[in-house]
Amino acid sequence: MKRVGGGNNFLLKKEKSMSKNLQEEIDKTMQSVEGLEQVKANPYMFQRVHARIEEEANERLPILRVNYVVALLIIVLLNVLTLAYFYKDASSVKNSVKSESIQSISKEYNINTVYNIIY
Amino acid sequence: MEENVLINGLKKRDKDSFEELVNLYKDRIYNVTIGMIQNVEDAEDLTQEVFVEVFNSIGDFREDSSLNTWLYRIAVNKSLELIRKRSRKKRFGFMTSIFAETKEMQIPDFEHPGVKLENKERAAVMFKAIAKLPETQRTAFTLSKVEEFSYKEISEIMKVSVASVESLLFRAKANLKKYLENYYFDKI
Repeated sequence: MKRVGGGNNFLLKKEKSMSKNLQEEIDKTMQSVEGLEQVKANPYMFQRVHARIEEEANERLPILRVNYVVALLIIVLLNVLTLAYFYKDASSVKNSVKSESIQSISKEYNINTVYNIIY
Repeated sequence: MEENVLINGLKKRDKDSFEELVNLYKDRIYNVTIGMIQNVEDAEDLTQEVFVEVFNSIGDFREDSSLNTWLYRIAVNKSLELIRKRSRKKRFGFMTSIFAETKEMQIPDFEHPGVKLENKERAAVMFKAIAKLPETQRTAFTLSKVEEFSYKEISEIMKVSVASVESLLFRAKANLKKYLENYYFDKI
């Protein structure tokens, strides 16, 4: 009887066959994505793209308008503040000149005034 | 229309030139994006985005590569952006459910519309495997096997050497075979 190792041979053959099947499956699957048919894009692709470009351009405009308005407001505010500062400065100079002249007259004529008391 | 005439027209924002460009390239760009992102609806949207990007950045096109290459490069980059965005969303969703039932991040089945009927099932398995590849291997494999670009064209699109493309494809195939071995081992 020469069946020693026969079981092992059988298993080996089965393994080889499984391995061959496995390899065949892998190869077939690897090839399944080759030679694909080209899919047609939407025939109105240009119209859609064009509409999208116009939409994006219109979205950008309001933001630009807001920016211009804000910039203009800031400029106006700065001008108002500057004018207000100079006006205040000018009136305080005028007031001090007025008080100085009243003070000098009152000293000359020795008249008591609010300014004398304060100064 | 010759390429340099087309480019000049595009830079002048000529509508006819832009229409010519879209009609010339829409099918190819659409197919590249389908292959890369593995979703037909998103590919339609992405193709539009590619052409909008071309319109907006044609002024920056320095003509150091062909118009062809530049277009496909934009398509590939936009596809990769979308893939990364999806990955981030999936990871965030996974993290928020971390105390709930643990779910593995699933890659949805994808049926490419250009696949022959007899290959649909195998192709779905294959695309799932491709989706698991690292970005550069995925890009090289998709452009080569799915879109049938030459190694030289792929090297220009990806801005790598031809040798790098060969190396990426070699590694991609090895990884894909490993995935398929595991997939089919239990089934046979």
